[in-house]
Amino acid sequence: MELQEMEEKLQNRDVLLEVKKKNKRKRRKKKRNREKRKEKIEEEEDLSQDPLEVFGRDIILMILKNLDARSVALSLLVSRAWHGVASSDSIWSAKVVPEYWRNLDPYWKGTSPLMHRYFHTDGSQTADPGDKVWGGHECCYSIITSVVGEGKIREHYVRINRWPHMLVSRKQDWSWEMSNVLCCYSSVPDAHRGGGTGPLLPMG
Amino acid sequence: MATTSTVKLRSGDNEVFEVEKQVMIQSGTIRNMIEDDAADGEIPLQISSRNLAKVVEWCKCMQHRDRNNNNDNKEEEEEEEEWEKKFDEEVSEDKDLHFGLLLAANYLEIPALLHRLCQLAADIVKGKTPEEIRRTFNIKKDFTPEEEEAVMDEHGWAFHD
Repeated sequence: MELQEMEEKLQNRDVLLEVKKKNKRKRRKKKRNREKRKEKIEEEEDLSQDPLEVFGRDIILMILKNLDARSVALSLLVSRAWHGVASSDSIWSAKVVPEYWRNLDPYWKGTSPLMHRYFHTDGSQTADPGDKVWGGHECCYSIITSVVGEGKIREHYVRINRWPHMLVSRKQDWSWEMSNVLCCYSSVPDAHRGGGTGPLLPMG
Repeated sequence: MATTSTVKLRSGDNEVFEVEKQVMIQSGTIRNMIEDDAADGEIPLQISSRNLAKVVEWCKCMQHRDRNNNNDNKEEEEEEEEWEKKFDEEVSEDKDLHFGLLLAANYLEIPALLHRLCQLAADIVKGKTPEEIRRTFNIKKDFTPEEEEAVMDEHGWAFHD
């Protein structure tokens, strides 16, 4: 470990020296080009090295972690080497998989192998034996088409299990209730908030 | 035995910077040397004087800010914010400085500076198409059309609106 760190440092030092040499060359070049417009010179000097070659994988990872998921996906197409870094699990797990699911699936914490779900042709769904997240209950799935709003349709959407339709109704204190034969959710009255349920009124 | 309250840093082009230890302990590398009593002479660093001067300036500003964290001096606070804004601008406009500082911050192990510079580097990449990124950094495209298509298929959501 220590040896590796030292090697990395030595490499960094080499790169630093290279950058320095380049700076010197550039200063000379600047002198020659003084007549030219400043932006022009900068544009020419922009023809610098690939940051991945200058900094190495670890720093590029640190940089990419600051990006939104779409920008990281776009950087996958820059080059093979960039693809190698930008497809790293350590970036994507934080962007795509919310903390809640990462805590649920020990794979993301690196403490156990990937969890599997098997979708059988008879419409049932199972998991590996010993899967701690799987409840062991019977499970089915169906592929459905759903409307996602604004007239757009999402096809081939996988629905796990079936859930009896829920009915939404308003109660006497103006709070909401949502229920089916299995359960009942109630909203918490928020009379104190603007745009909330409002104050309770005495019924005549 | 360490006797002085300063360290001497020698840049790659032989300029010596004398800086308070209190300032430079933000650097893990220097802090280790101080703790090992190995920081009494000049510390040679393969960092150009221009970049080293900037690193030292940054460390001074951060140390000053941390020290004044408790008192509510509005004027100083604004001054520091102004300085950081100027630092960000200067770095963003000068790729040589930006890259040089990134390498220096990594080598000297200054996490806060490293993170700031990584954030600024991310701002350069953000919103750019792969072709624009290649042009910015002079990167050669080495994908075959088939490989490119495979990546685009896999991440279709990112490439179509």
